[in-house]
Amino acid sequence: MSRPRHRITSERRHPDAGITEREMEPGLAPSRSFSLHLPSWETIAKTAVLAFLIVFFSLLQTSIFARWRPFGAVPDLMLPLTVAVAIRLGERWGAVFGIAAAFVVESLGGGSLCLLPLLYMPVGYFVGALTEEYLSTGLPVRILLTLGAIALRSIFTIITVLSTSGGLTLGSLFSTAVFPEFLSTLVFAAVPHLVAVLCLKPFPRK
Amino acid sequence: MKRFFKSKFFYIAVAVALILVIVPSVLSAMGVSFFLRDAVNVVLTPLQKGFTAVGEALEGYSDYFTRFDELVKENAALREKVESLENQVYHASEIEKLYAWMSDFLEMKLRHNDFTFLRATITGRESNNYAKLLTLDVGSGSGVALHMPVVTADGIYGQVTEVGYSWCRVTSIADSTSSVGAYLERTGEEGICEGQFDLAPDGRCLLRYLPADSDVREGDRVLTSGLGSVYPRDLVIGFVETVETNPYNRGITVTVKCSADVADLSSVMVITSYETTAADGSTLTGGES
Repeated sequence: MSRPRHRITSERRHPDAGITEREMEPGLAPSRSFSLHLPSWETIAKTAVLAFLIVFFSLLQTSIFARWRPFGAVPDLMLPLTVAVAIRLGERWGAVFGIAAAFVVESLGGGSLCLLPLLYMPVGYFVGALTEEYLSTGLPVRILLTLGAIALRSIFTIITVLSTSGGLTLGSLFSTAVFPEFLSTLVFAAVPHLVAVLCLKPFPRK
Repeated sequence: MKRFFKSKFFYIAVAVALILVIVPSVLSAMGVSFFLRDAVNVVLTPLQKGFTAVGEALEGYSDYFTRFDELVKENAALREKVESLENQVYHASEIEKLYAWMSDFLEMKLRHNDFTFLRATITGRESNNYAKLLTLDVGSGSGVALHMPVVTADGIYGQVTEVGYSWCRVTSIADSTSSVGAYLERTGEEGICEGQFDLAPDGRCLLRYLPADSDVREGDRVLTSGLGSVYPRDLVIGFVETVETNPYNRGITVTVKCSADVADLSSVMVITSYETTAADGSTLTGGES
């Protein structure tokens, strides 16, 4: 699907990144020239809220839930949070948020192999892009995307466990790691979604 | 969809993600910490500590909901354990009492190693005011027979006068129907201890048939003589309490305070068999019938 073109003759400031975009007259090939500006207060506030969400949920995940371990596994709260942010703010914010969230949570409670950015970044990016281009942001889509992300997380867990631990049977891998993590993340996915929706309410998607 | 992959931003993001995967992983494998991870940890570890403390505080509350069944089971198990321990303590105190009681008998057993003892618990006492009786929890099923002597650590109490399969009744030597061959330990003078109705409630009896010139004194110890084939020789009956001379027949009336006091006892011993030597050197046997 091609991106819709608008005849814009005036300068338009990119709402998120503080980048000014100037389009040429219609009929000409589109060309963009970017120049950096200081971020707007809205962007700063948005970044602060996202940083708070990352810190809060990473601490929640690595301290309280890591101790509690509902259903025998620590729920991955950062993944549904990334999905929620991406749905709300779009692909770019989703991808950046995914990288930051993965890095922080890996730093606080991860092992020596830090693979999560490779999961969270594409999840944030593609969830944002899909909801921007094809899908609505309603509840069924939200649930579907979250389920897909959690399923991807399970695959990721399998790969990570198999690459770091030897002598595991599939049965024990699924019963001790994959299923509990899937269930635990699924059950608690609503929490980061709800918090993200509430915190990002002042920042509507543009 | 192609747009997603053609986007410069996407590739930059992938590159950043790869850097954040590869660099920390490689450095970690080399044993070196990635400075960004360090920074994140330095900043967030105090907060994480706070969250952990909150989590610990909440754990008790969450346990109530999440581990309720488990806690109920644990509570039941602990109650059971407490009951079991209380029983053990009870049994231990019982065993302690028994030990003390047995050690009292040990001296008797050492002196009379031919005795065969059967421990019996006192299950009842006299139900009337005219007899000195005990009911024990052993009977013919345990080898108890009529006329077997019953003793305490302090001395002889009486003899078995009625036997059932799992019980027996013992009549005290202080009972008005009892008489026991006795002798004074100090002088060797022999007589017969007889129960008296008026003396029985106080656990006393009369020592009769002593020689008229007997040198009996208050406090003399009175032992069984073995005559009558019921009681073995040399068991303690009691101590002379009073000595009175009858002015009419010049006889001596000696009151003996029985040693065996069962008021505070819950157990006694039945001597089921014995073999002792009488004063004249003959061998006396008894108990088994």
